[in-house]
Amino acid sequence: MTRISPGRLALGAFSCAILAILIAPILIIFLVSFTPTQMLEFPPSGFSLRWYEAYFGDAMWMAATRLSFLVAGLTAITSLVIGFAISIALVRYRFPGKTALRMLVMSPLILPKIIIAVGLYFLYVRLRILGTTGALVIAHTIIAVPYVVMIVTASLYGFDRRLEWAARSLGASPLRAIWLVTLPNLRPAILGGGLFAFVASFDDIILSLFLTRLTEPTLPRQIWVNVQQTIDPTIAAVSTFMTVISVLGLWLVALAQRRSRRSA
Amino acid sequence: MANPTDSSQPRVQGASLVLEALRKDFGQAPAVRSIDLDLKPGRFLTLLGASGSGKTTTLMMIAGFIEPTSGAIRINGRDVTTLPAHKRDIGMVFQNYALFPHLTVLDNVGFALKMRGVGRAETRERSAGFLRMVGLGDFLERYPHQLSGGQQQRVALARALVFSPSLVLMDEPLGALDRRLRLQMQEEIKRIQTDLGLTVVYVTHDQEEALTMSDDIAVMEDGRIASHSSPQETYEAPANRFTANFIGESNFLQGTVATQAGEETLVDIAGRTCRVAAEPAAGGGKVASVFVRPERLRLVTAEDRIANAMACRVVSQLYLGESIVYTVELADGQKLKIRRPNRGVGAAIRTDMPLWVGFEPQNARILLA
Repeated sequence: MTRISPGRLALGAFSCAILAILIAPILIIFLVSFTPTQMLEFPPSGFSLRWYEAYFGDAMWMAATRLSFLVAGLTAITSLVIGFAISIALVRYRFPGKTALRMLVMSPLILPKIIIAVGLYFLYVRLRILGTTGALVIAHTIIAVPYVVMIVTASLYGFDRRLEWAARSLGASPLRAIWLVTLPNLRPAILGGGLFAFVASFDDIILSLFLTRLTEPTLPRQIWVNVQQTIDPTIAAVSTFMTVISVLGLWLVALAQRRSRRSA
Repeated sequence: MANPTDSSQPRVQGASLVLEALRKDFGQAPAVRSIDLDLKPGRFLTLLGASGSGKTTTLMMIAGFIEPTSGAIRINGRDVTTLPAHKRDIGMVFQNYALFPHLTVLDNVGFALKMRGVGRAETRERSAGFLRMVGLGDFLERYPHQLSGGQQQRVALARALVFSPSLVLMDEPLGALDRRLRLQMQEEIKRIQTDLGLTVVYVTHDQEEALTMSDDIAVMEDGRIASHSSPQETYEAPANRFTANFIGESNFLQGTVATQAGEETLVDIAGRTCRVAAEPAAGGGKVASVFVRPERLRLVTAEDRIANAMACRVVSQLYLGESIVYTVELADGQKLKIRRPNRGVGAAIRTDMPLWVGFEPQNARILLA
């Protein structure tokens, strides 16, 4: 039997406390979402799915949800395409301004989002694309690309370039070699990058506040509006739904990564 | 070397390969300075050199992965210098194999056929055929990581040959294998090459590999070809000191050229006039290095038993099992290495007796460089 030292015990207790603090809000929201009353009350006085009904039955909420999924999905795709191309350039080529490019691409991680939001707001007004879905996707892509680049470059450095050369010596054009050999072997990174991009878009509120119309909000913005105006437990149901979606996404990526690790 | 003429394997016509003043600079540093090469169809050429000598860079330029700074590459007379790699139809075997980890053995080998639009059934059949040829007929559905190093090597070989390329490039393909497997694969690669009539350019730093497999050996030094000749000539009559040093062990006896006497040159070494096979460039009075392989030097107990006998004494000896290497010192202090086959206890040299070292004139060369 292994003896547990007091130090280890203390560390364990500390870690558990941190975890509890991190998880508690999610757990509270989760429980609150099942309340049968009109109030955000904790602990809930009973069990009811009426706020889920209110969420899924409301056209405004559903429109916001659809928009968020659409924007996050498109953002994931565009930032993967752009981020992958940038990653290839950064990892494989030497060119003037490479460091500048790297810093420019990564800067949205450091810049306060509100600065990006204000800047884009004025730009979009001038371009007359403010409030369009495409414009929001572009905005979200700007903040999502750094995540993709960070994850994909890390795994590109570890990727054996000769695999791609082998494909080309066997008759695959450079693009086909990337498609048939590089991408399948970078699948964990692609999935991870895509998920991060999706989430970066899905839970963004600041850019949405500036760049969407009040009549066509994203899900986070709709929550925001709801909190300011009515505050009913619908938002608890919506939050729980969003959490479930995020956890599901993480779980799927982890599953795919484990599978490709096993075959690698 | 004679090729086996009869074979059941499908023969392809090997390609000719010409490199003209090929050069590659990486930034300011030249990796390959100037390579000229003319390789006849069906020949097995080895680029032999230390790391950094430019041999892999040269290979990658032939393959089309590295663009030459200047110069030209011709395959079968066609200029391919700027042709993209995937249009060159060159089979390539990489160091550490570079098998696709996400594809089965069969799909790895079938990749080239798929790229060429060959149908599923035929791709499968031809790939399986080549895998049987390399002895892997039972491993079609395995993934590369489920195979041993030697088996992965065979898959890489089958993959590079399945589309019947007329030119095959190999970049240190046996480097990761243990010695026994390496010898076995050397034979197998050589057999397949002669059976199929392939032109092969093979890169290695292993001199033994180069000697056993090649028709031609190009020894590379600092981005240039130091010598290009048959294995026998490379070993017996190296073109220069670098080649002599790089392949096998060498002795360089320092002396001065006395006179040219018909077929032979007389060289004064350690107070003794030695006869050496004639070299046209050797004029009288010049300082010369006389090159002799350790196994061509003989160590005897009587002066009149050998040509070019020079008195010597044994400084040290190294017991290697099948042979013994003696280090001897001449009267003027020069040291030589002599390799003597180990013929048993009775035939051993007694090192406390007066000894002479000598060599036949045709076993020595004068190297001025």
